[in-house]
Amino acid sequence: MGTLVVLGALLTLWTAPAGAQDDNETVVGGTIRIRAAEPDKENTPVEGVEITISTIDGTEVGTAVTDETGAWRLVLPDGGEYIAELDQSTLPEGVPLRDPERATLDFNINAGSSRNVLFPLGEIVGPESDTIQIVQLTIDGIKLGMIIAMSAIGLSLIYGTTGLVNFAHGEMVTFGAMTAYILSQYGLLGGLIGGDFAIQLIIAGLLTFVLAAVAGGLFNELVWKRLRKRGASLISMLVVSIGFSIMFRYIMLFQFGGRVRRYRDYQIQDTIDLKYFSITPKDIFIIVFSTIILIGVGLALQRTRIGKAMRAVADNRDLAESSGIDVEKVIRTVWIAGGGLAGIGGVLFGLTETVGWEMGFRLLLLMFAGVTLGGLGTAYGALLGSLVVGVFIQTSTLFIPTDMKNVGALLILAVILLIRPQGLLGRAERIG
Amino acid sequence: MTAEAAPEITARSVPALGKRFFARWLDELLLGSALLLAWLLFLYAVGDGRGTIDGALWGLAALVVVVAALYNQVWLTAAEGASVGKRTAGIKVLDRETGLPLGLGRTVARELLSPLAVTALKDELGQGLHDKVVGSVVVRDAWRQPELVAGDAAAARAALADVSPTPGSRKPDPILIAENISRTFGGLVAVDVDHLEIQRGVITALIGPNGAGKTTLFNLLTSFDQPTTGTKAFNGETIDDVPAHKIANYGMVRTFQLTKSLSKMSVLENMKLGATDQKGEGMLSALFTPLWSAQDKEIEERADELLARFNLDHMRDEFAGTLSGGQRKLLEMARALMVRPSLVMLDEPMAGVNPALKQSLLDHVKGLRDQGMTVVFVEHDMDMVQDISDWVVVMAEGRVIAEGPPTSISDNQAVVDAYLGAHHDSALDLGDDS
Amino acid sequence: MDWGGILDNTLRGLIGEQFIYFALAAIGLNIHFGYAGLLNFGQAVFMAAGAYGLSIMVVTYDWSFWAGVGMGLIVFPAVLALILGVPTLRLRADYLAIVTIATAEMFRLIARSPRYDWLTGSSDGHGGFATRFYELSPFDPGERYFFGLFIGNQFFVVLVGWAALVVVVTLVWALIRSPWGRVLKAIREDEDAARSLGKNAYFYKMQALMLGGMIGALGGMLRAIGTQSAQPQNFITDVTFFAWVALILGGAGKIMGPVVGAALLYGLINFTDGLLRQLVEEGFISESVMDGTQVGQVRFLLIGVGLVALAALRPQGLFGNKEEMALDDR
Repeated sequence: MGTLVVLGALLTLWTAPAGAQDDNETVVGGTIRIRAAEPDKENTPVEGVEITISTIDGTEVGTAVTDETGAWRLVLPDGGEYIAELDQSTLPEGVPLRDPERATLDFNINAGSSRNVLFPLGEIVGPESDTIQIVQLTIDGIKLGMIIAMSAIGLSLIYGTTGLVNFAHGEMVTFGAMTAYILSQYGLLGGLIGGDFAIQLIIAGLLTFVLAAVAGGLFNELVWKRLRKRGASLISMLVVSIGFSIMFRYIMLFQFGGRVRRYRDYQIQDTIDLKYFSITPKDIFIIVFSTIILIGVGLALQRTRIGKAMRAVADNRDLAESSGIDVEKVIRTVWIAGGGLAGIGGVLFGLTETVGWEMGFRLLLLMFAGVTLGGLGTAYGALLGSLVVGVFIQTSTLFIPTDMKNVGALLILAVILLIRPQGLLGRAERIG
Repeated sequence: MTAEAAPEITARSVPALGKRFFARWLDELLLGSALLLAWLLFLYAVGDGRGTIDGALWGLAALVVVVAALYNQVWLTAAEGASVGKRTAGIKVLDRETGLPLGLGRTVARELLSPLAVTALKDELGQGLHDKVVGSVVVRDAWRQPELVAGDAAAARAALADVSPTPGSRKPDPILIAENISRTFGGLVAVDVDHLEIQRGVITALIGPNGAGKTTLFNLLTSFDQPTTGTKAFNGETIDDVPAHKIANYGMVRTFQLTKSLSKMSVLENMKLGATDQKGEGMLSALFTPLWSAQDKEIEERADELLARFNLDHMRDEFAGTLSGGQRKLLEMARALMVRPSLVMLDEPMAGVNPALKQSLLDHVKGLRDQGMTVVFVEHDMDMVQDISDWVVVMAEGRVIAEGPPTSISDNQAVVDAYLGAHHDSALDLGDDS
Repeated sequence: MDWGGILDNTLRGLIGEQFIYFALAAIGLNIHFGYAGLLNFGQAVFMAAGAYGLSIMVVTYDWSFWAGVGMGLIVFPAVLALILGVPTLRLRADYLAIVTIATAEMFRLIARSPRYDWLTGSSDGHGGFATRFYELSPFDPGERYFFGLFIGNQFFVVLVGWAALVVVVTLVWALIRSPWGRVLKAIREDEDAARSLGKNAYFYKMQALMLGGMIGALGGMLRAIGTQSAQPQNFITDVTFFAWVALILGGAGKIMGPVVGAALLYGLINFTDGLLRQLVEEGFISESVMDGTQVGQVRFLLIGVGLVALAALRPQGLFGNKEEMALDDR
């Protein structure tokens, strides 16, 4: 089975790095900092905070104290499950933990790896004005919306051309992010045989686009095309896509473990302070780059032959087929392009947040919200809807706790369905 | 359009008025603000506004708007639902003051809508339909279908002899009236019919080139789609706001262009499904077999009779999915008859049926009329239309362009033009079986 | 290799408490998908409604155990079904799938948020709400019962679970053979046809969503009682997929399908779980390939593979009839 071959290749690609780390120490660490109230100020490190690590059965392993940069670090004897406890009495006056109940955290660590354990401090609300905050959040929202849009266009076009709601689309995003991580960390060769052949992230990203597009094409060729040929019902195809989603997700968990990673490049950047908001160069890059790509996609849909064919098939498959459009070819293109875009979306998502096994699934739900909002099956709808969802999620943090911001996005999904089920740009269907 | 006075469709139910009032323009506005305010409500409920005065005010405002916006979806459904129980007895109980069905939300309705409602009720009483005023309620015999009167081709054609063969012409005894019905999809006008009447006890054919809007018109008439404008009446009563699933209870039943046989149910189960007002269809009563077993047996007998008539009795216990295309069409028609309809609307009943079965289908359609039912059907094959229909309505580009007895249609200039626009071969080739 | 232990585990999977929870959840899904054609990918939330319905009423609001049972079995799932169904049941089947899976995620985010600790106990959840239940147990908590497979309290849960299973299966059987069940199946086959014949498809779908949800809630509640805790991580989205695999394995649209499927699924899971653990412990599988924590992840991986294989290759279930499936012309 071809799928297995691809899977096998990916597994070897992903297995080797774990081995490459073996001679490293097992290290846990972190940084304790007060988040600056105003965007133009540096975060303030907190010195002298004590963190005690003990094993799961209560034996103390050691205590670390933060240095003048707020960093702490402790070498552990072995991998496994540990408990980290922050001594709250060592925190300066008036600087509480964001959640005092989480002064004790347990974490898992693999032998030979290092990981961060974070104790976020409470935010000290400064005299930041609402306008500045709203502008800032809107910019963040646009960035998030762009990423959602890029990943979701494929989802929407696949639905439009084949009628399939591809639940495994989130995993295509994770695939992109993970592949770029491996490439930028170990390089293509390093991924296969071990050693360090790291590729700069931008090049890795472009490579990822190609790999993800190929993966999308193969996914269609090996799975979906066969199922379509066999006349499988849409519902059973939907269940198959869910099966793939779980399978991929747990393969990644199996290979990478539950911890999140960051790209080696562009990890820390100084923010550029503009009057109403501040932004890092990588965020500027993300917004500009994704705007270019999205405009490119729009132009391609509008101008090129295959783009027009895509819209025609999405609009009315039978009509398109009878007017001589090769529907299978269009579907193949949609999968390839959709896979590539989802992969790039994954890289950008990993760049703004972190790379982890569940990231795609989290983004999938936001993609659903965006795509449904814009109108299932329409490319421009996906774009518009995703932008709205992105901005909405970020600005909602003005009012609701950050860990609940996605709840709001999912809630509007339900409200939209209640009021305008065909979405902003969708059209109602004819019956009979 | 001729200048003669159109018979007004005045007997409209009050929910219709209310719904139109809200639905046509207020809805958009209300739903828009509801979205916004519901979001604010959420923010204030879980966000930092919790416990503040303006949080509560916002919440209250949002609630009011949401309730108002959901008004026609929730409340009207509830009010209508209350009258469903009475429907089985063949009567509709209305509040005398408001003319609303007695039931949920009556008080709210009275406050909101009484000025409109009283006029509407006056109109209705003026019509002199089977109304009886008892104390503070009106018992209205609205659901009783007229008895079916057996007919035949001669009688049907005779009844239409005096009708002028012009689009939108008045019929002596219309069972279905559509007035100013239009439907637009985006910018595209799919249907725009000024006036259309369907004569009772007659077979009416609906023809027209592909994309003429025939199926869309079917959907609009049977409430499977909502018209952008316009109103329609069945047996003298508006059915504008009757949802699709209630249309069958009025005695109007339709079939579909793509046959909808329920594949993984047996032929018999398909038939039994068609019977309306089954006692065992409630979730709770379903648990008590004695409540419904007797009725179920009756239904089964009726189903068996119909199956025998349609030559499907040998397939009785097979899955409907194993039937041939023609047999499915037969099954769909037979199943529709389980509803005991007075109007049967067939969307391309002959499409994809082999010639042997076609004749038998034709005979069945004629048989429906001879039992007193009214038939409307969409068809492409002109020979067939000539053979079985008593009246032909021609549609093109969403409009009714011609009407008349079948003999007069093929030399009607408008019809020839319409078809010539679509096909360049010959004026009389009305076939289009794609 | 401890083959006896593996065998015990497998048996417990076939008839034990995990089987019961998921059999009930899958029966609920069978009503949704097998009979009404509804794509519910949030059965975990219905299970959670049962579990949290009980625990919130008992722990947070100090109600009695039985009042909590009533809330968790009827009120919570009914309200949830309304919330899920009102926006989606008039639309294409995919929309319900999207909304249910989104709700499952929403539930997880809310239930573990420290902000709602007062209500849900955040990530630690609730405990100690089932004392009244175990007081009724006639079995000695220290003893082992049924060939030593279950300890006393466990055995009580299993017995009650089996009784519930019998009642639920009978109920579903009675409903499906009635005209009500006929309408439901008609809606699954073609909603528009059902509507043209005077059936209020929306209403029936809502009823089905509620009924299936309540049965799922029963499963979730028993799970909370059995484990004596209601925690967010017990009701994550992946739990839904276990129920789906059980349903498709046994065959959707058959009364006993989900029961057989759940038994097979848990028999199989426990067997592979036990076997892999043994292999890792005995060193047949080296640590570099798989360690103890990864064994648990393999089970999810297998669920994914199972879903793909079943839905693609045998959508009619292991025992289903291929011809019947071929009738599906959608």
